[in-house]
Amino acid sequence: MRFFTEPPSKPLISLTPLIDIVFILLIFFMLASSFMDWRVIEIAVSTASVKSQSKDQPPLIVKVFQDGQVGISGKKYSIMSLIEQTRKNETDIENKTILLKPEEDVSLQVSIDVLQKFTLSGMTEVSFFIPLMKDK
Amino acid sequence: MKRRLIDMDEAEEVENTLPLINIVFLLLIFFMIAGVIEKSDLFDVNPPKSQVLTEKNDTAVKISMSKDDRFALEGVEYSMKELVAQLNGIADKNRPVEIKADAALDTHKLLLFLRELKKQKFKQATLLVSSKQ
Repeated sequence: MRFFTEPPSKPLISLTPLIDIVFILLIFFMLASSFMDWRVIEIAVSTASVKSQSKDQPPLIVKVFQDGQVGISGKKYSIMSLIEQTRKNETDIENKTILLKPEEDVSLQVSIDVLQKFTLSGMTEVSFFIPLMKDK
Repeated sequence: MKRRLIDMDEAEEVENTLPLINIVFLLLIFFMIAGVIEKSDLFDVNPPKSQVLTEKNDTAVKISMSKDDRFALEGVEYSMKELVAQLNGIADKNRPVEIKADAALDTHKLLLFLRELKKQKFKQATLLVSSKQ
């Protein structure tokens, strides 16, 4: 007795164009996709002037220099030494408003690093000193 | 006989490409699901890195600032004067303004721009940063 098995049938659709399209899609998604973890830092838009603060709690205006050091009352400090210094003089430093006043040509990364160090030290009220409007 | 040999070769070829197709499909699915397709910037902007972060707001007015004084609003490049005029035309001043500024930008220029936002009665501004590990 002879059994006849059917020969394996050829697939109706060729795989080659499918692979081509999948490759093209893969290249597109690899190039167009972004895996960056973008976040934001909130910046107070209100003009932070000394006048606008209450007289009981005047803000601490801190100059920021290009090398990442900070200055207060004409003296230059590293951020950590400034925080220690201020903690000795002030009891409620955590609630004190700190206004960062970057010098000319201080890069944004340096300013953000200074802001971050203050915030990570437990100070919540840290923002940038926005120059007051000049009347034309 | 010859015909049968050719058929066998073709069948082997298809079998050999199957793992490749599987992997390519898996990679495609990974990039489609894990990646986010974003409109690329008109000019090169590398935002600063930071550890102090909050979540992005998708309804924000998007502004890009390069280190060489190029500005863009919602993907369209403007001069500073034109940008100020465009911002003036935005009716809803409660919308947050999301600034994507280059890490090497002079902070003073950003502060002057924030002053302009204040003048135009915008209430909230955020600065785009990439998370620092």
